[in-house]
Amino acid sequence: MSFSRRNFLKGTAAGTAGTALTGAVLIGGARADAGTSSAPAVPGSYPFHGARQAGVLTPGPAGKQAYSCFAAFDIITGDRAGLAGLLRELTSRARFLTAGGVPPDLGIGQPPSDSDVLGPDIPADGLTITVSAGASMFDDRYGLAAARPRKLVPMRVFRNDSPDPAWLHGDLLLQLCAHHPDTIHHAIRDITRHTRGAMQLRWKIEGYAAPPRPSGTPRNLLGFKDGTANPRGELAQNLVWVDDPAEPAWARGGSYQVVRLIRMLVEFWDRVSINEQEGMFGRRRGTGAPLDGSSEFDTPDYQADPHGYVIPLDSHIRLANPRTKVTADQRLIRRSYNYDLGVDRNGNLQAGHIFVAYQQDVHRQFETIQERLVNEPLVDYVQPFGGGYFFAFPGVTSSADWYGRGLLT
Amino acid sequence: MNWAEAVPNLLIGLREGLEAGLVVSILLAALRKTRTADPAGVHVRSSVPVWLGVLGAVMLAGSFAAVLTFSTSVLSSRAQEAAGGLLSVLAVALVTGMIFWMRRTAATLSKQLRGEVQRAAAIGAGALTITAFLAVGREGLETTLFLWTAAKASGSTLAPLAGAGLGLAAAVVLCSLLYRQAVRLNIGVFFTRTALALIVIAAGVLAYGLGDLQDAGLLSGQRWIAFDVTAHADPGSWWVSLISGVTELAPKMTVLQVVAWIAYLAVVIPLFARAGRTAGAAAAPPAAPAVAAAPSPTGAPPPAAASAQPATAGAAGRAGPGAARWERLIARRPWTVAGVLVLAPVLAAAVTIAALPPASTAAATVVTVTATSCAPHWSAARTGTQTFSVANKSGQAGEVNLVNSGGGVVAEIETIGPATTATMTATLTAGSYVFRCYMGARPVMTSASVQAAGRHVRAGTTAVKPVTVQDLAGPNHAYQAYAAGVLARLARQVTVLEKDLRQRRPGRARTAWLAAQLDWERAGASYDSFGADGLAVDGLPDGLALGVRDPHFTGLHRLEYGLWHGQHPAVLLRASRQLARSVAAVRRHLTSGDLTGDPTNLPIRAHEILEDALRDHLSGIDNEGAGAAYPETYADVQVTRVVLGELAGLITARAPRLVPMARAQLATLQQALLATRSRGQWRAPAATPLVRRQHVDAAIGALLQTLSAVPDLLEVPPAH
Repeated sequence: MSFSRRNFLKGTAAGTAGTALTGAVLIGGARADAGTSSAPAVPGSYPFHGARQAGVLTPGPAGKQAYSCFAAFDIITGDRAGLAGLLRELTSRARFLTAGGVPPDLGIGQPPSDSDVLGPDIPADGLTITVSAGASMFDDRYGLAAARPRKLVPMRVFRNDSPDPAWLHGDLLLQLCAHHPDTIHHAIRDITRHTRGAMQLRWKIEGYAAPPRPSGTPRNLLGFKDGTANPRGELAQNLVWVDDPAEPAWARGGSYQVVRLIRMLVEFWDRVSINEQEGMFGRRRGTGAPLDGSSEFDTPDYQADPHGYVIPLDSHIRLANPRTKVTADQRLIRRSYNYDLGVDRNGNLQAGHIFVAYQQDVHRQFETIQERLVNEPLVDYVQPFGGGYFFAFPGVTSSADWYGRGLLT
Repeated sequence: MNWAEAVPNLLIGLREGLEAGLVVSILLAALRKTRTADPAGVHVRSSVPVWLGVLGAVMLAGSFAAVLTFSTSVLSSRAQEAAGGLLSVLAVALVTGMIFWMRRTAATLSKQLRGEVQRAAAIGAGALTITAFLAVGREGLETTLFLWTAAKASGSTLAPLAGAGLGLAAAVVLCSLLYRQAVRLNIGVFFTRTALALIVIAAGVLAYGLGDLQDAGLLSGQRWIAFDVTAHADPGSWWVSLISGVTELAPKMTVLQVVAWIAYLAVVIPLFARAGRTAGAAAAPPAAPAVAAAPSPTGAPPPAAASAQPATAGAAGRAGPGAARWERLIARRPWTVAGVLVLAPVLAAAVTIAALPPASTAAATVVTVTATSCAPHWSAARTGTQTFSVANKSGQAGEVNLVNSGGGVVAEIETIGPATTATMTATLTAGSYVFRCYMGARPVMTSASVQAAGRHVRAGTTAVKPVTVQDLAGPNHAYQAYAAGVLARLARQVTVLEKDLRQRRPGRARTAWLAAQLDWERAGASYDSFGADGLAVDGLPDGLALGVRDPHFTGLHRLEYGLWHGQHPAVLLRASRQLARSVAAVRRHLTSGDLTGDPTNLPIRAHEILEDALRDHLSGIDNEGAGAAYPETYADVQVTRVVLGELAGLITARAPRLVPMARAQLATLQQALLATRSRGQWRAPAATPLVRRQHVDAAIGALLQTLSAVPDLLEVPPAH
């Protein structure tokens, strides 16, 4: 081809257009990639006001914040007015902390109003504060015995439990969840500062959630995906919120909360064969699939396996949720976390599971399931030692409302 | 299976096969003509050298395909995507170039090849073989690469391979018919029409390749999606199959893929049309030249069109003096040349494949179990680490094992449900293996034996010889006899304790209690392993509503609590009598299934007695006041020695080093325990210096790590 100005111009134009197109597509692609990866999949804050408290289904178990703290308090204040004052103060702290913002400047006449652990402008950081009452709050101190939610009793000792009084019960339980641990520390420090004298910490434990490894439901410290069968959506709503007409009116829209601190003997567990481990859970450890399935969300078919040849009859998933019509309304919402507490007396890691469950009826749901589970093979590798039954108040509906207003007024 | 996926490869096979076939036809025709024209000046009389060259080219293409398949299969999935993507783009470039080259040189090809054949025939058979090899080999490589990438783009193997096979077969038949002049075909039109289809397929392969490169992270824009109809388009529906199969397009594509697809078509189709016009203008009669390149039976070739350009690759002009000497050398050895051409690619491919590192995350080998057969299609295995994906189509639950020639199990799925798939992983060393399927109550099924071949692997998965209940029966009887003896001593000791309590001598009662507690430990009745009877003897207040005050709190720990908390001997006397009854019950039921009757529990005991010492004694959980964790653990060491001794033969047959190692670690633990004493007296852990406690915890931890293998080594498969 002979060289001509026309061909030269044509070639240059084509080359420029091609380069520009390629560049545009690649740069656009890079932007799109960066955009989707840096965009936070988790909201920065959850609404505080509402008919239901946040931290139960907002966000739900699948999207729960990565860090948590469960702090049980005993109420020290002597009378009903003091209790109301405490709950009002709790409400106002929770309202502020979950929204974030700049703390008030108290001037030079007193120490600063905030610790600055989160800097001068406090981020919401996905913080939810969920307040629950223990059965002991309804004793004779405040004249609330008649208003006690009907199923709220001190947590029973189940067979194979190793209860440690230092880690059990409490008048109030605060569940704090956030995207970062410093947010939790800041919040609990702020709350105790503002409620000093009225309530005193009884026990407190920090929990962390795992990201999906590599996908699906996060794993617990035994290496198994935990929470695969959690009810979702409307089913979850129908199982969690108290709507029984027999319950005191103030309690409607609340939820029974079960917290169980369960030490996991991880060293012992790591010395158990994979077959035994999978048999105890009823799922494959790698994929989370039920032993009769191929992937995590396959539904186990117990009717096809009445003798438990595939999924043993005493495996955890089969006992916990037999998937029958009768047991359908026993299902509950688990919103659990892992914990690490240092070193045990025998030199082992002290670590385990903060089992957190919400439900309409602690007897119909948690206790019935737990009764089935008392002698599961897994009990050799876990030691429940703390926690309690609590009742999560209904939500704070407006800026004039406060936790337990319906209970105390 | 999606048969639409066969279409692109059928077309590629037909076209490329026809191209190669025409080249061979031209070579054969030219050879015949040369022989007729100048019988004296030609050394080669037979057409065998041409066929040998073709065979060499086919082997080259086959070897190339093998290398492609094996070398990419050992890559990580990311590298597989990168390599697949690059090869796809390369294949598209080659095919596009070939389409244009064909269009430009179809006219001169025949003449050019005839020249080369004349020259080669003059030199000798070897040269003719090489000429044929070169002419067909390039087509072969191109075809292989394009077929391979197109097959990859469609995501399956069977339909594309079948399509390619059909296409090639059709091309061979068509060529032979053309050569015999049984049919006539306007090859120019054929190539132009198929070229357009090929361009569409190539655009799809290009888009697919770019998508692979994006997945591999080599190109940006993986998440910049142009469209995603996966939710609306059922991949099994016929129309999705048809479109994606024929065009190699996917239901979900990125912007880059779409832009590349459109740009490729928008550029190449007009260029191709223009190239056709230019070629048409340059070649004297536009259609005639490429028509039926096959010679007439008389040997006279059809008139080849004179090209406007001189044949640039003129045969004579290329050969230098050095090359000429080399050509003369090989010309005399046609069979050697053919041998080299045929064997060299195969050898090179074999060496390459053998030199490949074992796959790290290679795709799993799929193995099927049916009602009547175990892994029926499993026919090849390689050495190294690999995953088997076992699909259970037998309709029953069961167990699937991979067993080596020595009968050792190298991988197992202990329970696989009906209609499910589960995976097993093993590192295989060279040798033969079978799958063994134990499905439901059916008799055991065994697959054909398969030889694992490939690169040498130093250490494979340790094979475990299965254990039967019969194997364990002897050791378990020995253990039962031992435990019966210890329990008899315990019963006597409880009598002593009772006497001391009756005589209100709490100091002596405490000594008697410890002796009894240690005898109980020495029986090997680790917590809960003697069932409800055992629990009555050594139960803890855990799980009881009233804790230590609960009436159901009985046995040795109940007495411990009372003795160390100043309870009245009269109260404890009752507890002691109850203990005597509980011990009697354990002795009565000792050989029942709940206690020691099940031989398969013995291997578990080998590590669990000390697991329980760590969990219950050394953690302080079962301390009700005596602080006897160390003497109790010492007693547990003694009984673990006995159990290990009874199992030593079975263990050593499977793991020769385990028993000596465990014995040494038992000795270390015993020394560490004895070192916690002060002036010959046991102390509570709380009163023991940290360093002594740490030595005990370290020794028991190391020992348990060793012993944890025993239950795995001696596990009896469950019945399904």
